[in-house]
Amino acid sequence: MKREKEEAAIVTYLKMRLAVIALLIACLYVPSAVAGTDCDKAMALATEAMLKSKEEDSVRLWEEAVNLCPGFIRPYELIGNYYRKRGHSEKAIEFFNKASDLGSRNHKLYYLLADILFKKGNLDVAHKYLNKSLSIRKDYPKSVALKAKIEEGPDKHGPKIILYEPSVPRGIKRVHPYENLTVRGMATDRSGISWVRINQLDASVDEDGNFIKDIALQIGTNTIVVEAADGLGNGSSFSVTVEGRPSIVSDRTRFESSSEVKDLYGKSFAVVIGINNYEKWPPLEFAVADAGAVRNRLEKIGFDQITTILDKEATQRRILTELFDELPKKTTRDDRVLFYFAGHGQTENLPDGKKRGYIIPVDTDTANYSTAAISMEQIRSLSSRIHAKHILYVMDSCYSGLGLSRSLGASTKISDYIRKVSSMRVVQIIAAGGKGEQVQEREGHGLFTTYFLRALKGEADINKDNVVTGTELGAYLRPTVSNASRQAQTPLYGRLEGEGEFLFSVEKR
Amino acid sequence: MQEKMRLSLCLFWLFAIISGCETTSPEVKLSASRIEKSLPQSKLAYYNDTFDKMREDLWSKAALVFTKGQLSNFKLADMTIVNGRLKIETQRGSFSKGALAFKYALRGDFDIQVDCHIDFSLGGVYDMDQVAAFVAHEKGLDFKTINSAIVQAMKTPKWHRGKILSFQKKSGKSHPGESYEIGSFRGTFRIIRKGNKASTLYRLAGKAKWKELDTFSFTTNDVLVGFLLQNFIPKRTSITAETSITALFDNFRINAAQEIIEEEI
Repeated sequence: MKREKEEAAIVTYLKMRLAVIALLIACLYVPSAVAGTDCDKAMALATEAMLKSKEEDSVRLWEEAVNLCPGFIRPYELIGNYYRKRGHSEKAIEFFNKASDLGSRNHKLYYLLADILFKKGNLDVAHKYLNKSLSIRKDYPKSVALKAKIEEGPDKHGPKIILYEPSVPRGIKRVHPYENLTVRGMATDRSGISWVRINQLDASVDEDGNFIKDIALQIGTNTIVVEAADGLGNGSSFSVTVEGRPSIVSDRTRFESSSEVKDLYGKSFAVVIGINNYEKWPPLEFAVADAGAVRNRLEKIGFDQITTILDKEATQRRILTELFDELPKKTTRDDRVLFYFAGHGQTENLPDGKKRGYIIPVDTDTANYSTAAISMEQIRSLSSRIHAKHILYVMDSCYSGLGLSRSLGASTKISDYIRKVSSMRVVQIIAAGGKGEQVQEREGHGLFTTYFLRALKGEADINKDNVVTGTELGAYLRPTVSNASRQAQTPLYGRLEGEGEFLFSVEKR
Repeated sequence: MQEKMRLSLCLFWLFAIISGCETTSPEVKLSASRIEKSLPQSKLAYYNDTFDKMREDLWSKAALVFTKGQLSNFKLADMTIVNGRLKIETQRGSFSKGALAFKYALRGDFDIQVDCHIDFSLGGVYDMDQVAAFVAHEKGLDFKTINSAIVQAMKTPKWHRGKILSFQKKSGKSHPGESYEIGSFRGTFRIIRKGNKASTLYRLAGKAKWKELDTFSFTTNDVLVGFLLQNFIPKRTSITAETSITALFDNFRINAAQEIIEEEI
């Protein structure tokens, strides 16, 4: 009897072991249900498009590809060329510009853009694109020939001036409630831009002719005159009228509450992204928790429109849609936008020796990341579509190649300074570390985010005016994070554009 | 001066005759005859690629799948430059493929080659195929009507060893050519077109002699070329692909070409 019981127990035990083994085998042999990313499928569709006899069929597949993977540059180039060949120059320019915004390095794209603009008589912008084409491939014969053709004719015209901000038609008054006004635009000329002056003051001009200058406004009617000269000394000018009214900020040395800083802004938007569970990249432990903590802090300091995107939702498509479509639609000149990203970053060495930084969405491949990640060039380009006066990118990842410029503002009177910078446009960026550095994670948070949260609680308020500026944030995070990580991670900060300051109100200290 | 020219011509014909003697077939093979009116090597050199870096001016990443079912569970293979060679590695758990498509079309006669190294996985691969291929497709035709010349190293689950084989597609229909059991492949693929004929060839690493796989009628229209690695054949409907497969490509060369047509963009 006892033996029968023992045998029965052994049989039961063996059956259980067999069941466990069978389960394990089943698990091992169940086909993986994980399909590829949308960008993988987009690549397959774009390849199929190459083998279509009718170009209309190719275009349909290219459109499908960019719908699946909005960061996929090549289909935009091909769709643009399709429209170019059919004489739809505006559509062609639209798609070519999208490819350019996404960071295309195709020298032919810039030649074709230049060719369309040349035929439309827009020689200066055509010249600019030819320079871009030749900076990628210096001996591209078509670009060399067209550039020579443009440069052959005598240039008697001054630069073309386009004003982005203030965005008012010539001669129409606009009421502006601040003491300072950012004047921003682009001047183009085939012989290059020698200088740009705004109300007789020199503005800073980059190599593409983008200029920016903050000017003081008087109460009442202000005429803003933008003058520019090309490389041959030909000049041109453009003027707008702005009505200045008394400032809404009182003359005090400290801000007493977060609502006072909030009053400097129309709306305060934030896009907060955290990714722990990547499809192909190694998992992170605390990125999602960091995003949650940042969201909570931002809610407390006056951010009223926060979009949180976590883990599997944080695809390239979703992030680009937020930056490409949603924010440009929602924001106005008086708003601020904070973009926080906790996840992987990557730096690519370009053939010309430069570097390009990327943030890595959840669906990005480890090898083909340049297609399915989001480059800093894209982010810089997307910033110009967002109307908000202050934009701050906070990246809890490590990069190089951000192309930052640094400048510290100064003023004798604290409130004057805050008032001044609050009205000037700025795009600032702070990244957790440079190329080759690893972000540190400790005690449930990324080290960088731990100090970012502390900064927003007031630790970065260096001059004790209850306001933390973007510059103060960078000046605080760089040494503190570097020391706390024993120099394993040193944050980078700087400006992508403008001379203003992103402002946070902090608790009284 | 005239004497020197005459001597050069004599040496040329002597070389041509000797080269002809090396071929075993009584009829002159494409590989043994010269491409007439080829662009000079000085011009062709620009298009040769040793894969020290990814040359975006020459190549587009690509991945053609054959059915909607394959597309629904598709992952692009990783493509990276490793030690001066292009490494393609398929993904596990999906139909996976990676390819580079040459951004220029070839017109007229041509002779092209690329080195390939693939070690076929032997264990646990009953659920996938292993295909490394060098292809020339007629431009401007749908896949269902395409004309292609293909030389590939492949292994299906049923085969004990890998094979090198020639393939042609005529109006979209596959026509297998010669094939040889070869095990893993380390060598060079080559495709030659002369007039309305194409030849597929291969050479094993360290060997001097090319082995011709097949010669067949082929389009005289412009062709697109490329090479690829994939873990599935066109008719495969399901896959588990528990292992990834890797192929290394190197030294793409245009030995001769009458015209190289640049895409507009």
